[in-house]
Amino acid sequence: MSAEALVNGALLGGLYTLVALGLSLVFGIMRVVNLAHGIIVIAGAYLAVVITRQVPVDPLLTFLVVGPAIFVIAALTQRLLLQRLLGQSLEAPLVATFGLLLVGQGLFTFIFGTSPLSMTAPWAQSSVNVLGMSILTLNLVAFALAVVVIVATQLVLTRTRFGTALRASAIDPATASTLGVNINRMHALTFGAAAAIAALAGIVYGTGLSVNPSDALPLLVLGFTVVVMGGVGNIPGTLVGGVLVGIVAAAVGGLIGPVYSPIAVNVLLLILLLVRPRGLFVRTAPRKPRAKAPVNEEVAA
Amino acid sequence: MTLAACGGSSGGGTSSSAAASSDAASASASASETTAPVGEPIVLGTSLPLTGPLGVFGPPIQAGYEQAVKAINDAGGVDVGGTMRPLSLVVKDNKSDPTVVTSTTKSLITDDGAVALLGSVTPPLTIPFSVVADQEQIPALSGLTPTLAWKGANAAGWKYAYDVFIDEVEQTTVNFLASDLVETNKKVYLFMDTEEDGKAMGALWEAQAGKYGYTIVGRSDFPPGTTDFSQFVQKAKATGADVVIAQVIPPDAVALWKSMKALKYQPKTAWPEKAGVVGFNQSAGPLAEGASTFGWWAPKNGNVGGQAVYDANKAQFGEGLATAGVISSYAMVQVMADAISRAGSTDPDAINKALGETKDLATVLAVITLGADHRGVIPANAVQWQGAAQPIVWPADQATAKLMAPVPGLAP
Amino acid sequence: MIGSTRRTVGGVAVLLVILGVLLYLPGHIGRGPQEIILNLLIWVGIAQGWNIIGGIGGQLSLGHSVFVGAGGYTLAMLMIQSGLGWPLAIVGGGVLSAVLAWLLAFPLLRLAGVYFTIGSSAVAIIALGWMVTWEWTGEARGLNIPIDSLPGRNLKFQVIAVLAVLSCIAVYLVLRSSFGLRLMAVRDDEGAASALGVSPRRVKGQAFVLSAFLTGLMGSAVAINQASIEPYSMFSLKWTVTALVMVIVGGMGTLWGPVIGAFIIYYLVDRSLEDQPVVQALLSGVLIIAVISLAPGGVVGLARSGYAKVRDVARRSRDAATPATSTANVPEVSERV
Repeated sequence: MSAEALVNGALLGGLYTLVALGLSLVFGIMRVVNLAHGIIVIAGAYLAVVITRQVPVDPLLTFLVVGPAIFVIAALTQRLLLQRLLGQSLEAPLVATFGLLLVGQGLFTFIFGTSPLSMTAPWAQSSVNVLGMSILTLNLVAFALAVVVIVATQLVLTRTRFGTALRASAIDPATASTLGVNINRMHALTFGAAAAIAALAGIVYGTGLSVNPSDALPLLVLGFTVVVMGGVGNIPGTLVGGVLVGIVAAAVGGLIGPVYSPIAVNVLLLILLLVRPRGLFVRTAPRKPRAKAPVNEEVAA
Repeated sequence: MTLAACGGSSGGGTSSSAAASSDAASASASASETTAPVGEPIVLGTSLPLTGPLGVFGPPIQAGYEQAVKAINDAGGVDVGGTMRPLSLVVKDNKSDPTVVTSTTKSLITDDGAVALLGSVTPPLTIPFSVVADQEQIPALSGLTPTLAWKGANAAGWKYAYDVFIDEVEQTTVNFLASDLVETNKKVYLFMDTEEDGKAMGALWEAQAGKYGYTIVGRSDFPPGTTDFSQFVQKAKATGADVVIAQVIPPDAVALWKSMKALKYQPKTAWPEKAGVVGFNQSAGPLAEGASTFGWWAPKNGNVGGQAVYDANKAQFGEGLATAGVISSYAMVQVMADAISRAGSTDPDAINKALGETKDLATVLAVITLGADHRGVIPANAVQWQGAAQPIVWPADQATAKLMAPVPGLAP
Repeated sequence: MIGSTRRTVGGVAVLLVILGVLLYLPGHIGRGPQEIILNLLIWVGIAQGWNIIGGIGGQLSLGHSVFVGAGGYTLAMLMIQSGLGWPLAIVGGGVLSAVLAWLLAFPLLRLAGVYFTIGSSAVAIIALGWMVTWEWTGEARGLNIPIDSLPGRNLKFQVIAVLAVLSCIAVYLVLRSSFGLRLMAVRDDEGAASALGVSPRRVKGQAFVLSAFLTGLMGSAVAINQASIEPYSMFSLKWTVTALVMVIVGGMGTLWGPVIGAFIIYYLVDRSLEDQPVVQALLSGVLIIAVISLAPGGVVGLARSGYAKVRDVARRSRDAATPATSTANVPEVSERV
């Protein structure tokens, strides 16, 4: 168990943070868990693959196109489909986004097949020597991006009027609405931004590792894990969560065996779920009407 | 449909509709120039992974079956007790899912009237397939499934199921013998995943290494889906092993290869078995150059007519193991047709008996004999990714290219 | 029991009649249709199992696969290691799953709403990860049950029919019992239910265990049908996902919902679209989006509201035809006040 392994693991956690950030945003602001989050990540990766196949640029540059594209698609999906489900019941958005997950997986399998695809970039194939440790450049890039995005998001949320309006709409939408905040627009923009960040994560993921349609669910679970570890809706906390997952995986892998890394991470997730207070997402929040209770069952004989 | 064929060419003509294939077979039968087979079609059923994680293997296998059926029908069909009868192939998609293998195989028998079955690939799919065959007492022949793993799944011995492929014990020696082609320090590092074959193969490599003068200096076991290999690559690098053998799934192999490249670990020979067999150049890009795996066909391995099938398919499936998969499947039809002919009837038990008596049959794959344990063992060789092709690099008398070492794709 | 006991008995009788028909089928229908119905029955059982905790209980569990796998593996281990006959092994599968659920309830049921969903999926992943490395149960290699010790095709069909109908009877009885009422109360408003003296933890725990028991029985059935099992398919998330989709499309928390959903998803989507894998893959997703947006009650919900509308229209036209009795509408208004 070397310091080098832990540092590499911690920095790779930056990638996990990027993956989770969008999930945390949507969860914190809109109180919705987007089960299709993993699909958005791989959508970003696949889109970047398509672009880099035509134009051989550094995959990160494709974000200039991929980011806005995914933003728009996500914002539209939110506005047209998910918005009306928000008020319906607790499980409606969950189920709908789950449906999107299935659709997305089918779509990508059809278009790209099931074999993994990846992109090449010099920063994904090299390492640097820092204090005698070989640190993968990929991990440095992922970590740096994570920090940048987190800082930017935090600044927008706390220092801009838009961000203030956003936070208001999360805490008390009714009052915010009477004060002139367009809640629907806020939600659509949030969803779009979260998706764009996820797409960026996908680009890094597809360059440093590879992408294939069955990654959607594992990426979602990874996102959950980091979000819960860092604290729901806690933006800077997502960085802590990502780094924590990276360290635990590396540590368990090195000390016991890589076979137990995912088990350890998930056990840790369970423990944290139990130890945390019921969460910022209080279940009996009045703004969500419950589904109507069905009357007594009758056997349609 | 799935575009994931080796070499980047799209899998054209791989529509999986069951009706289409049998129509194609009978249409070709009626359009042939030689005496068209007149008897009732003999139904061969196959359940293939046309979608799902193993979906890359489905199309080549289907192509092999279809081409063999067409060729046999064009030449007059199968002589069954005096009547020339055409073969009819029914294809179903099992989605790479063992439970669907079971249901589709059963439906091939009950709904489509298959009198014999053709298998797909890998133990997780071939074993349930063989179970159904034994339960329903219908002869079933599979290729592309390591024979010892398949054999071990049925302690009492398979009764109606057969498997023609390499023997893993022999296969694991190939890595060492092929590595002998170049100068190495005879040290080997193993990266194994925790899937069934990861464990089995790892044990075999450890058992065989010493006999060929190699030492396993380290081993790391991973669950599928691992993303962070860096500390284990460092460990391997620290041992200085010149030979790296990996039995991991494709996404993990890509991640592993990228780690090795980034950490400047360039072994003399590197073997991404399982992951590197098909499509590795697509998923790992230029890093795949020089990666080696075992192969099962060579132009000069004693096969009859294999080169023609190879040349006919290399444009679509590439110059490598995907096309070798077509050849293997083609040969399975040949074996089955030969057995039906010798049986003189389409009674499943008669076919089963005849299959068991298959001896020294020359096919496009190799000369095949089915043993008492229902295995047909064909020799393994070594192939290496060179560009988009996988030429044979070992044994010397069958090689079509020279082994590149150290591994160019991992050059620092 | 709530409602009339006679009604309940009548309902169970109907289900038993259906069972009788199913038991008669083997040997009287073609093997092809028999195979289809067999798979359908397995899905009905698994879907009903999820329905108890997810539909009636309202706890969106993603850990369902744990109990399918536990049931199947228990049966296999019992038959292989102890030479137990399949009837007792099936029961063993159900019992072990129930015990497992009872244990898991301690951590999991302390989680509410989406945290429960996340936690249950973590458990499912841990279970799969563990089973792949557990040597005693064959690790990734899996287990092979000797074919001779398994029931023949027709008997197997009948056994699975019994298990499937059993799960339906269980759901029916739950829905007509005070237990079911309490469960639904907790689902709809846990705070209020708790204030009225219902123990949410207790009720959810019982539902969880019952759901696991039934699912474990079906898991044993799956193992009997496969004969050769391995962790990646027995503990696959696919069981949960498919059951979830079936129940939602059919109608969550209803008796016939999972049955209709199983028919739609398995027969219509899975088998009939076997040749169109793309459409098939997309259709499941599109279906549940459509259902949850337009008809959250699923097919059963649609049928009910359709029936209610027809009845309304019929009553209004009847009332309109007799103006003297139109004042009968007035009491309805005052009731609402």
